[in-house]
Amino acid sequence: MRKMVKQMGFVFNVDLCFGCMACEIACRNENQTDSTVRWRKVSRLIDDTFLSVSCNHCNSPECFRVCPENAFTKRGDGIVHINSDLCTGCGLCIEACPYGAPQYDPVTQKASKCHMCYPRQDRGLPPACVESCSTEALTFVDLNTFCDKKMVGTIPGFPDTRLTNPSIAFYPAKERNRYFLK
Amino acid sequence: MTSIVPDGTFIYDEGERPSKDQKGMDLVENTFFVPDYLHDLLVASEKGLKGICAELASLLSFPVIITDPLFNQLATEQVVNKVEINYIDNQYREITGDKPAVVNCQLTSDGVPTKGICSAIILDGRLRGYLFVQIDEVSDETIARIHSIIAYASSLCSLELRKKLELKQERQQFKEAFIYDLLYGNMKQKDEIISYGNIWGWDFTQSHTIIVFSLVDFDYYSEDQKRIDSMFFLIERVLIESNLKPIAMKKRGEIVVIYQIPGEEMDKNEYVIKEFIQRVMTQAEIMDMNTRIATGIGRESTNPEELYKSYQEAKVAYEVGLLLNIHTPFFNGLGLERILYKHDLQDVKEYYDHTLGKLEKYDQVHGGELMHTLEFYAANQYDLTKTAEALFLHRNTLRYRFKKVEEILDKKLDDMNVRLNITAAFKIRQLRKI
Repeated sequence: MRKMVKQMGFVFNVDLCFGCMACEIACRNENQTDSTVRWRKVSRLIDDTFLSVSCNHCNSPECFRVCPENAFTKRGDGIVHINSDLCTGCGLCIEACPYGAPQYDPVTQKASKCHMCYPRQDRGLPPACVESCSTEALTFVDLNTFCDKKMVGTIPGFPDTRLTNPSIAFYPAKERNRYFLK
Repeated sequence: MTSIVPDGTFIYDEGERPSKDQKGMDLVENTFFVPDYLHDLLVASEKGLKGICAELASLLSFPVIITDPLFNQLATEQVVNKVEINYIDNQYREITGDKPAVVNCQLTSDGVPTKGICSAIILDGRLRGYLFVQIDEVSDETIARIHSIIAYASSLCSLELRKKLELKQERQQFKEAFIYDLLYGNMKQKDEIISYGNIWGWDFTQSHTIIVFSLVDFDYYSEDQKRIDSMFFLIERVLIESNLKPIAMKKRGEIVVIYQIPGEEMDKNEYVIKEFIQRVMTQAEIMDMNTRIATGIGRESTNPEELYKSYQEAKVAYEVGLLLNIHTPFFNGLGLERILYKHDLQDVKEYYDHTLGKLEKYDQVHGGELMHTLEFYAANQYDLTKTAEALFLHRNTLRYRFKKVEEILDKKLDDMNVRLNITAAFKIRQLRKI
């Protein structure tokens, strides 16, 4: 029997992301998803910062709760995984997720979502999105053990975390200093 | 002249401080004497807390009690009557240091107050228990005489507790992995769950329900982590006292309990669960935590492979309970809220505006209290008399107000469907959707 319970989660540093979309492209390349399927999405927030979001592998996943086929499982490392053999493509999970993580795949006619590249992780590699991030704005850690006082649970522009407890942490944008030449 | 004080320190006269070589010679020439009683205590510690307790009691000829931080007795020796701990000097709860001090305390032996002395058992800077010695007459001289031996015994207790803790943590990790798989439906075979459960003596052929205890506004970086540990310990103890084998795990800011349902009668089961939660809350009150603990209870499940549903329900009950200020929220007891809490935000906002928007605007413009009055009316099951009493208003004043409300909303308040819509709209507001 497995011994440790982990909660792998993404850590996103707002100040370091400049919206290059490398994470989004790497995700699509790694998982060979359809062009309409975006497991990871980079969006511009109102304060001209960027936010890169995929499935947050929540502590209380709504997708998991609403699925009538019980197709979702949460692995021992905290990754929420969808069993596509059980998925009927009903779309309930797509509606229920506040982060828009599950995506309807028109090719398979089923829902699919980020699995945090667990096949890569099993080989000791980081998820493709994390590896592709040149500024290290996106990292991943075990949130059960990792702690940093500068980290926060949510930032403006991120959906309400109260219900699902997403496994994501943020380094919020710092107030930028302005320097003038004398 | 050199002398050795009881703690083994060398004391040198002035000008007599030895060189490094001389110091080495002293160590070789002097015999270090370890008293027999210390050796006996050390040997007795092999038998655990009970051994230490028995040896210390026979050494001092006084009753000795070892307790956990909540004063639950772990080992006693030479205690004739039932002893309760009433009061400890110096507020030991605040202790953070590693060295246990010995202070006075007040005990009750069979209802009669007696005095004693106490030493905290501290492990890794955290209070893990107390060691009490019941002595009728406590003078400073008595304390001075036995201070050292009690401090020594308390250190032995802390070592003993460390051993237990490490063993428990090791076992707990396997347990946690199993409970985690149960909570997230990762184990699909009933027989597999039952056989794994048997390893720890858990009977999954019986019905179970999930109870979630959570620390409101949990802050990972504060003392809350320690509070969750204490809470977990407390819940396990209450379960053991209820003759149940504890099936519980910690998850960041929450503790999840898989509670075995005693029978098939639903009302009786609810009563038993409420009683269990009340006992936990009473214990938590001692630690000043009860105001920050909220709970949620899922539906009972006869199939262990479906316990994950009960867990999700418990968390919904917890969230809704917090919003609606329900002390012990059962998922079964939630009504319309079960649907509303997760409904699309824009949709419910539009519904609320459609139902009560006009009235809200009227109140804002005219500074009236029609919304407030209507809310009370809905809360009192649309009973005019009850509402009048609750608002300290005359029935006719209310009638006048409701006539006005009917005019503004262009709806009749005695229509059952209108009432249902209004109640739902107020529930949406209560759920902080608006």
